Amino acid sequence: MGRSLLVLWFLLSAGLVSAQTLKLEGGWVRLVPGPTTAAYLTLSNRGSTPIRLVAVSSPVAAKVEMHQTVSMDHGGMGDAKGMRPVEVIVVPAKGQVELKPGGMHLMMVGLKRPLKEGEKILLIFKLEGGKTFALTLPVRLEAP
Amino acid sequence: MTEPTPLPGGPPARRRSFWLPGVLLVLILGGLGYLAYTRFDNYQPYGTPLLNPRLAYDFNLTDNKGEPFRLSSQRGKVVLLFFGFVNCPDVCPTTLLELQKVYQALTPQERARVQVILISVDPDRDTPAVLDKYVTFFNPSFIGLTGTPQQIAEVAKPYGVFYQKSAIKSAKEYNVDHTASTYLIDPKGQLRLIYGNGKPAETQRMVQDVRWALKN
Repeated sequence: MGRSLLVLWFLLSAGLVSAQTLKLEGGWVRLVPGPTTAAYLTLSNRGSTPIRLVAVSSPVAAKVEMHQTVSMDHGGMGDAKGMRPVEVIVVPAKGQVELKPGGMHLMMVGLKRPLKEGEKILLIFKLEGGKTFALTLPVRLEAP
Repeated sequence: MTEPTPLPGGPPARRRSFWLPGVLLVLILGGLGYLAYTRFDNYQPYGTPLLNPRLAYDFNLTDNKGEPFRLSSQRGKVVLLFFGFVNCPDVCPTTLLELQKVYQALTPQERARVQVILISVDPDRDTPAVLDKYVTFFNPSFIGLTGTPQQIAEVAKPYGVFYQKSAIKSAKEYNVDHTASTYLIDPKGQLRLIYGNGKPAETQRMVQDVRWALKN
């Protein structure tokens, strides 16, 4: 998918101005019939300092939590899966973080209305330091 | 100086001593091959086979239409069984979508003999009505089952399914950690194959397993 968003801003630290660029791409919101869903995307940091994502919200959900799907072994009987909240998603300098099924995701809790396939959902990302930006992601049945 | 000369009869004697173990090895391998052939019909399933197929634990739960449902009513069909819950945003929809693709890849005749079942590990929130909306979204023929917490616990145990609430914030807000394997039950009601989480993504290999199970 060609949809991507480039966010550029300037950071003042130790008297130096450095450019921070965060690229968001390949994002989508999962179409589910229930009140809880997940959103996925890839965050790429083109700058030279880590970017820390501390919160996400959306007008269609009561809340959005950053989660990691984890594997657990219970007596070797099959593979158990669980979710663990993630306080902050750190996108390393010159690196990227991929949120994808079976891994990290943005859990959208308490959907206020049923989502429709193809519609665009607004998500608001908040970075450490207070910077926020908005992004719309398409609702899809599965990954593009 | 004189070199010790090898005894004339040496090498043939050594060859003979290898002969008997060689024959035994061939016999053993042949026997194992025969066992495997008769047991698995020479087919190497994609799912992890149970070496001693046994009757899948039979149970009585409530389906997504609110009707009683007994597993043994599915004799003659291949059952693909998964444990999950409606408020599961990542693992469960991924697996149900994978199973939907497997189901769609079958012929209509085969589909009539295949049943996908989701058993809720969250009976507190997953009522028949909630489950109905959920499972039929993936496919109108899929069945969702729920019951009392006690009933669910009794079913999960014999399948080796672990589940436990986590990140509990309130009576209605929590996650459920759970075993995310898929179980294949054959038309005789025997538990035959187990798929670890993620394996059902291989649609064609799943379809082959289902076709093999339909014939066996």
